[in-house]
Amino acid sequence: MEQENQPLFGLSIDNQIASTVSSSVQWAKVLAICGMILGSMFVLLGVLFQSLMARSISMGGGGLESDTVNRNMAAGASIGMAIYIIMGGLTIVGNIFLLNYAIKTNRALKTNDGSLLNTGFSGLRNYFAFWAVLMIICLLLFLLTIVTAIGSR
Amino acid sequence: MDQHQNQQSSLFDMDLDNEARYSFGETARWAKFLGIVAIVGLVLMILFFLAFGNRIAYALANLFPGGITDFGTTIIVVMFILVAICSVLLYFLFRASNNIRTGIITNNQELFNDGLNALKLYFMIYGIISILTTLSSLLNAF
Repeated sequence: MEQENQPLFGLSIDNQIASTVSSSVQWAKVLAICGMILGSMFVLLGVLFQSLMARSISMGGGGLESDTVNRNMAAGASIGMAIYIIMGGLTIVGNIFLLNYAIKTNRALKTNDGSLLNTGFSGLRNYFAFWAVLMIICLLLFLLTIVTAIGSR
Repeated sequence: MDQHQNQQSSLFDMDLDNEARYSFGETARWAKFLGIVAIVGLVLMILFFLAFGNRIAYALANLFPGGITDFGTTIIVVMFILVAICSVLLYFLFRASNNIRTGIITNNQELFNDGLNALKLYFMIYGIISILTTLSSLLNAF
């Protein structure tokens, strides 16, 4: 009789652990929403920075008359905007995975749907994988910058 | 009575099938990988600041002459806070990934539950930090 109560593979999500997962999901949702707000702010800041620089250049660049200086300032502003937009976009994409996990896992716990729980945790796996790969790329760029800086001396 | 208890149990319990175990295992594996990469990043950052901290402090002091007087101490304090927060987050991330993975491999429900609990604490701490960061960013922006 007791054996019949045992889950087929030995592990289960009971009422108590379901509330722990539910709480984790709520915090993940908060984290995802905050991340999306921060990502959007990055994008806005990039666009704002570029437009302010463009206006400053068109008004004479604060006394800077040289065309070369103006061109350099415009290029710098565009690069700055691109960096901000890429950073913001990546932050938003990463947090979409987390929001996906939060929404699907929450629904799975409410409807007791095992396959939806799997999909939810796949979202969490994607979130961790996304940040791990991104962090590796950033570390490589960081190392490349240091090596280039040391090599140029 | 026994049958009633069984019915109640099946209502709330969600047995983990092979697919769910794979899904949880993969999540734990990537969480561990992220933790390892984050530790490498943290160590590199500490080394970078140990090597170039003085130059950065000097450059910041030149950039903001009327601002903070001791940039060296400020950098050390900021680094210390950053490392402390990252260490706590990484501890919970590693605990979650190790316990979920070991729990799945050894069929140990207690370890599995502990892993999910550590994951909750990880998201809780990260969530609080992100709320504070978002609020301070919004306050600075407006």
